[in-house]
Amino acid sequence: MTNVAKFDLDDNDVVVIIGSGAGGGTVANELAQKGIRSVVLEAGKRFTLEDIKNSEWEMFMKLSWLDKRISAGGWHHSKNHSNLPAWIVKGVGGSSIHWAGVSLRFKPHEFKMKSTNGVVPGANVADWPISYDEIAPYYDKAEDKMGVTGTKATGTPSLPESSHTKLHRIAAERTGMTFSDAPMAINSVARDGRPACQQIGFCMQGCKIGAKWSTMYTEVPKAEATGLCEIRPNSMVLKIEHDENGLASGVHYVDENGVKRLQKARIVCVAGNSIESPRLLLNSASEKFPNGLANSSGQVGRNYMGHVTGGVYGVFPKPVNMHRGTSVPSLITSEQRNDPERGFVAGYSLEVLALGLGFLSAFLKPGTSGWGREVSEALENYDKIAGVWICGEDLPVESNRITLHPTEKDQHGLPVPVITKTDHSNDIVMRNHAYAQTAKLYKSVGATKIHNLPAYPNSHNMGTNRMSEKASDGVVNKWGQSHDVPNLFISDGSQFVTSGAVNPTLTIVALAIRQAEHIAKLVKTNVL
Amino acid sequence: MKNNNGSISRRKFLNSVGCGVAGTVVATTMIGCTTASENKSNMITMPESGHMSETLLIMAKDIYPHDIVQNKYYQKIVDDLAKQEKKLIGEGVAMLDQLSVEKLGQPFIKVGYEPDRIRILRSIEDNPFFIKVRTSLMFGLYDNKELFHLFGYQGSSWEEGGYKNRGLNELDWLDD
Repeated sequence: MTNVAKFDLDDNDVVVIIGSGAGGGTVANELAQKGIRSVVLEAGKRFTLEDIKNSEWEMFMKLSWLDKRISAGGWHHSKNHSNLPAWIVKGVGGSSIHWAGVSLRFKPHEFKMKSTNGVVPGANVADWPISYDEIAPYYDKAEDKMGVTGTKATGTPSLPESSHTKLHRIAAERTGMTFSDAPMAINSVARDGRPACQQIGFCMQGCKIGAKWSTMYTEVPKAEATGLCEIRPNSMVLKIEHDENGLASGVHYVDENGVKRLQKARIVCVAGNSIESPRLLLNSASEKFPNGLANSSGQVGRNYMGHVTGGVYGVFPKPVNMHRGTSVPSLITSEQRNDPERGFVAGYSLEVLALGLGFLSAFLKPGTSGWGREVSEALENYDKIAGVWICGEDLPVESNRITLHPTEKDQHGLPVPVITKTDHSNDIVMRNHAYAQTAKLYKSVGATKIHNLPAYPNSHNMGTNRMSEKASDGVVNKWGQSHDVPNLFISDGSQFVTSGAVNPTLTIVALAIRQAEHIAKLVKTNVL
Repeated sequence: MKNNNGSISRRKFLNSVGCGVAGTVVATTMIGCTTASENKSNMITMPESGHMSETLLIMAKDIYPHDIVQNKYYQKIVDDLAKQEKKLIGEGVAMLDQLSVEKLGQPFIKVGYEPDRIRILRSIEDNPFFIKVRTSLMFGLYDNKELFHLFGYQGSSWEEGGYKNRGLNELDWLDD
């Protein structure tokens, strides 16, 4: 690269973006394309395609955010994933290196869950301050950017059918369920300088050939190529500083050499995923903002959502070879609708999901009792196994939240985040419904045994800095802009109001494109 | 915590070995780790290596029983572990034998009836020694390229160009 940007620490005209994943990486590139300068502070290192291996545990160890976190509350993670509530990435590209590529839009009603269902006891459900119609044009842009298969925006075909998909398609036909190819941000034809998918598998270990969209090799290098964006890897942010007017003025971080720095800023965009983003705001408490930055509502860190989830793996009489091809090749969408007649509000998708032998051995029966003949017999039939992952709407609950540990500190001296979550009764009914539906599905194609798996550590993390119309109900407005600190933005999934029955990335990217457009307008008119 | 004759109190052993010692990051994060509470304070003696190796093999095959996997693979995993974690494993095997003698009147390897052995192992499944043995086996058996084919798993595929033209959709036992 010839014209790599290098900005001065005292340059207070730059936008400082914290995190380089789907949210931060996209905002950086969108701003750069509009001529706006930015510094991206990324806690993780830079990876190249050379670092990507087709090996589950090797890549888990290489990519994962493994700084200490504590799972608390009633969810099974408190016991079985006590220090790994979430499964996300630390690296340039963030969790867009790890995501499977499923690119689904929220349904119109999923932006209006309070209007749709009224008050749900024990939950903090609200409508989004934006509608489907407002975000739809940005969904188009996101699909085009990411190369989503089977969409009008790209005109590219779906990926080819695999055995894993075929089994589910036939099962859906036999049971009257709705089957669909997954719209994937994985090239089905060469596009945007990246090759077509070769059906390697291991999508969640990082795509070895870059066929799957990841900011690691799309938005980030495109932003850098403009000469207007400086990426600083291995830079862990400690605190956001504000001036006497209560505007964000700079960001304290530890650089790649372990030296503490302060980067001045005109605007700050926080995109550290739904655990680190609220943690940073809470850690940025000051005399003026004693409860944390941007937290006059008290909602920072609250309403933590994953998805109502679990896995179902069926053992069949003959080979399926689920590991051949993309990790998530197809979907069963019959239950996405909001239909309280089923005993729960909101809906869920069943996403066909291949696990390799290594991960299946760990997740088939997580916890200390996950050994013995039941486990080993299932694994001996690895090639005859097929499975789905349940992706259900998780209700926002105020007490499900990110807090700072009172005494325990991480390697940077920051309080360790505690992730407290307990299933809402709606979650439990929904999950059991999903287990039962999948059992029906699998029995129709001759399953000899069905294993219900509890939730994996969350890769979908949402809601901890939510949007709201009124400043008293949430952290940011419909642009992701803080109600309290006008030049502070939230650019990741933590601004979600509700979680939908779909994977969050497409919506994160659509919101990031929309937010960057808004920021550019404010910068060019000198409002900010 | 060790006394003069080389034995330790079981209570002290169990209380002193925390998750940090017992497992890798993966073991503690993915499998979970709790420290067992144990009130007995009987004395135990470190086992000799041949006995330890035999005991660990039987334990390994009880944890993840597979007729398709030869003993040598199990043996290597547990022997390597015993070398790396001498104290934890040595003391763990001694504890296992002691428990076995208490409950069934004989050391673990002499317990011929599988359900009896499983009952004993279930009672220590939260123990750091057991977790360490189990996680080593989990990685050693299921994250081991040499053994993938036994389970019908094919491992890394990019070198072969993926499955696009190599058996992506050959499921033929369901009628469309």
